[in-house]
This record gives sequence, structure tokens and C-alpha cells, in this order.
Amino acid sequence: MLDNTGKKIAVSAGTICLVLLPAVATLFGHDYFISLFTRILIYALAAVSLDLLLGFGGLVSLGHAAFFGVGGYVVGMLFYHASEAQPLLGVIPGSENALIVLPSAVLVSALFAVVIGSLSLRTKGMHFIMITLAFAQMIFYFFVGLEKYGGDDGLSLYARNKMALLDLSDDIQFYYFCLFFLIIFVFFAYRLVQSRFGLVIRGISLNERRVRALGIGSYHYKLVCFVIAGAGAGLAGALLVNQTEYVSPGMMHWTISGELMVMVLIGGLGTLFGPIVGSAIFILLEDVLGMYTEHWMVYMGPLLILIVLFAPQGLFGLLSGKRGRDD
Amino acid sequence: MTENLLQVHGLCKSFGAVRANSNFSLSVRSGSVHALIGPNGAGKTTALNQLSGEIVPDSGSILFNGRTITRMKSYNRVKLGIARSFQITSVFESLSVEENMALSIIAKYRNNFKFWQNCLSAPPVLEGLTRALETVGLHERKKIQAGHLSHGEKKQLEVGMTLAGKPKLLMLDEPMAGMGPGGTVEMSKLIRRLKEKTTILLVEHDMEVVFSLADTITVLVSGETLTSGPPEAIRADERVRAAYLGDD
Repeated sequence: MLDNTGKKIAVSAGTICLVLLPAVATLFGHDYFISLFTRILIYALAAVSLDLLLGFGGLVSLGHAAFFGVGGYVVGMLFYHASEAQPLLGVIPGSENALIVLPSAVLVSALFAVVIGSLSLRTKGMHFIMITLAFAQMIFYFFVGLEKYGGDDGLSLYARNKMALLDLSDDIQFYYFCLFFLIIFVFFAYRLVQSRFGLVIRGISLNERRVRALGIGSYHYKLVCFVIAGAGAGLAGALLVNQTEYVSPGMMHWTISGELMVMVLIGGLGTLFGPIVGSAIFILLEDVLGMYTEHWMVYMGPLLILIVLFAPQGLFGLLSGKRGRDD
Repeated sequence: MTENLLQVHGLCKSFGAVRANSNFSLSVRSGSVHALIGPNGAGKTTALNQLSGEIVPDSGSILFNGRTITRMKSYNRVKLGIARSFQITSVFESLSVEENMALSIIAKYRNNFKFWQNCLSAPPVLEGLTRALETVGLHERKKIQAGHLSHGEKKQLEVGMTLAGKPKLLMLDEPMAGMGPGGTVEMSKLIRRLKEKTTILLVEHDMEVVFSLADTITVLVSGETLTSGPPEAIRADERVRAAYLGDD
């Protein structure tokens, strides 16, 4: 992944840019960029987690937004119960404390991933794509029907989570808060794909039958990979709801799963750093083109086609100077 | 060491109306090289797939080391010591040679849920990797992506990976397939060396190789065991000649 100088330079330069961005934006008085890039960081986190599944596990899931949304709803629901001072199901007290809310969001989305994954992973190929999509849509409609939490209209939060020493309502601090989680997650994922677990997962994605012939039951490895990816998406969802102070079922609509997949493909499947690039390009294009036309996807489509045809390893993969997946 | 490591009795397997194996029986002595031959479509690969556990037989029994494994899952059979290589080379093409070998080394450990340490610095890999690569003569090529190896080298890697789990029974599915004369010689040498370490069940088309390597030969015709015996007896058997060798 970081096997050549071009990529190393790109990653270092990218990190420096992201770290300096708030200072530069403030200097030039474009505060808007801080919240725009916060959004990019959050989607990047979700896209990197999806890359673990798509690019390394060979598991094409079209239901990744479900975990994104579940993580978001954990934030929303805990906030709701905290402000109503009435415990969830009579036992779970609400909370606005980020140190409680974020881990809960990660945990709950991981639990959803255990359930969905343990059933979906019994299928393969097209069936797996369809069953993950079906689960995600099921959860989507479940939250549409939850009138208590706003149903279709969603739930407004009025404030971000609170945390000692940090003021998350400050956009600059919140930006660094998100950047911190993105860096931690990418670093963890980077180690993970080269670890023993990662080697098994990569082997499974290349030739599952051969892995089983070597004596490894592949199911549990795939499940753990699915759960880690789900937890990462849940964390991203929890951060997004904190940023927008709003959660709705729209977050887990299947088109969001599709958008995450597009980000992974633009940036580079199986590159970990690529999806960050993909997220930035996708959201910047959406933002810029969206100013001129509602139908900005008309321009996104051809770009995606060009990238998939001429740079199968995405924009990040181009840095290696080779085209195919083999580098 | 003369007892039977593998005892197969009356194995039957049909795919719809097609009978791939009927009444397939086989006894493999410990420490021997046992060859399974037969004309195309005789059901050799189906038989092997049942022994490795990828296909569950309709009826019959498989005994390995005195234990019934007829319906055991393939990866659990590997843990008992049955390993196989594939007819179509199936190394992991986009992994490096050393990653391929590392994967086969860690395969026998139950707990590979280690997320942090680089797979190449894991203790069992550090301990076994160099020797495993040297056994199949690929140590110098370890950084190369497996997809870039020559066909012969891939086969060597494949066998090396199968060996990494220190199997009691090694099943080789047409190890010579698609190899030039040089590759065949290399592979024959390798199999001869392996013979001292493990029991080998060899499915092979190349008759010269089979007769020079095998201690015992079983002939499979139309999914059924025709006969079994030492190479000389098989060579002299009229039925075998009629069914198979006569075609040559």
C-alpha cells in the first residue's frame, strides 16, 4: 500500500494539508471550508471502513449505510432521552457525553453487524449483495416507522455531544476531533490488513476455496471483518449526526451505501488511503456542481466511468504508476 | 508403519443423473506413494474432493488414522493432517511468495485473530518461513508476487504451501499438469524427497512419472475401483491395458 515513494509523499502531503486546513481557512475567512471538510473526513471514515470489506475482504456489501445510520441514531436517541430525562425502554438513561455516546454508537452498530453479517455471510456473490441491501432497507423502514423519534422527518438535536476539555460545538475543535478518529481508524486498518488476520482475509478474497483447503474455516474471519467495518461506519455516523445535529432515516438509505461505494472506487479499491481522496472529490464535486445544477450526478457519472475504465486502482492507485490491481 | 493411513470404502457420489463415483475403495499405506490413475472422466478429482471434504459423499465411508471423517468439514480434515494441492494451480496470485507461504504456515493455528503485528513477523512465520521456502527452492524469489512466477515455480510454491502444515497425508492433484520436461523432473525430485516425510496420494496423468514414483497404484474406471496393486502388477493387468493403457 505504501510501497513506493509517490504514495508516501501523497499520504504525508495529504495529512499535512488536512492538519493545516482550519488555520488556512480561517486566515482567508472561508470558515465554510472547515465544516465542508469535516463532512469529508466523516464520509472518508465510512468509506475506509467499507474499503476493508470491498477491497480486502472481497465482500461487496450494498448495505453499509445501515451501520452509518444506526451509529447516527444512537447519538440521536441518547440525546433525545437525555433531554426528556426519561430512560430508553425504562432502563437506559440518555446521554450527551461523547465519551459515553460514541462508544455506544460503535458498540451498537457492531452488534447490528454481528447479526446482519452472521446471516448474510452464509451467502455469496450476488446473493450477498442483495441480502445486505435487504437488511439495510429493512432497518431504513424500521426507523421511518419509529414515530417517537420523528419517523420520516428525523430528529433534531439542538446541540452536539459534550466532552471534558473539548468544546465540540466549536467547528475547529470538532474538525480536529473527526480528523483524530479518521487517522486512528486508518492507522488501525493499515496495520490490520498486514496482520495475520489481514493475510487470512486477503487470502479469502482471492481464493476462498484454497484458504479452506489450507485448513482455515473462513466464515468467522469474514464475520469479524464485517463487524469491524460496521463499527467503523457506526462511528462515522455518530460523528455526522454530531456535526449536523440532525438524524433521519435518509442516512441509511441505500443510495448512501452506493455513494460510499463510489467514493471507494474513485479513490482506489483496496488502498485504504484512496477512499479519503474519493470522499473529498465526491463531496467537493457535489458541493461545487450543486451550486449550478441539481443534477450534478450527470457530471459525476462520466468521471466514475473514466476512473473505473482507466484507473481500476482509483486515483490513489495512479500514484504507483501502474494501472491494474497488481502492484 | 505398514498399517493403512487412509481407508476408503464403497464411496458413491452422483451429480444429478451423472454417477461420478460408485463403489470407490482405496487403502493407502503409511509412508507410501500411492497413485490414483484412470482415463479422463473416471472420477479421480471427484474422489479427491470427497477425501479432502469439499464434497460430501452420498454413501460409503472414509477412515483416516482410524477415525471416521466421511462428513467432516474440509478445514477440520486439514487439522487432522490431510492436505491437498489443486490440479489448476491456485496460489494467491496477488500476494507475494512469502505471504503465500506465511498464510499456509499460520493456517494450522486456530487463533489468527491478531490484528496488529505484521503477519511476516508472527513467531510461527519467523520460525518456519525460510525453511519452508528453501524446501521448494523459492527462497530467493520470496519478495516476488506469486502471479509473476513461472508455471513450474507456481506448482512448487503450491506444493510447498500444502506441505507447510506438516500433513500426514499429502494429496497431489496432477502436479505435473502443464509442465515442461524440466519442470517434470524438478517436481519428481521434490516428490521423492517428500516421500521420506509424509504419505502421498498422487493423481497423475503422466504414466512415466506414476510408474517411477508410486509404490502402489489404484486404477479408477467409470468412477469405480478397477484394481489396486504394485506397478508391475498393474502394468501386466489385462483389464487395465484394455481400459486405459491401451489407449496410449
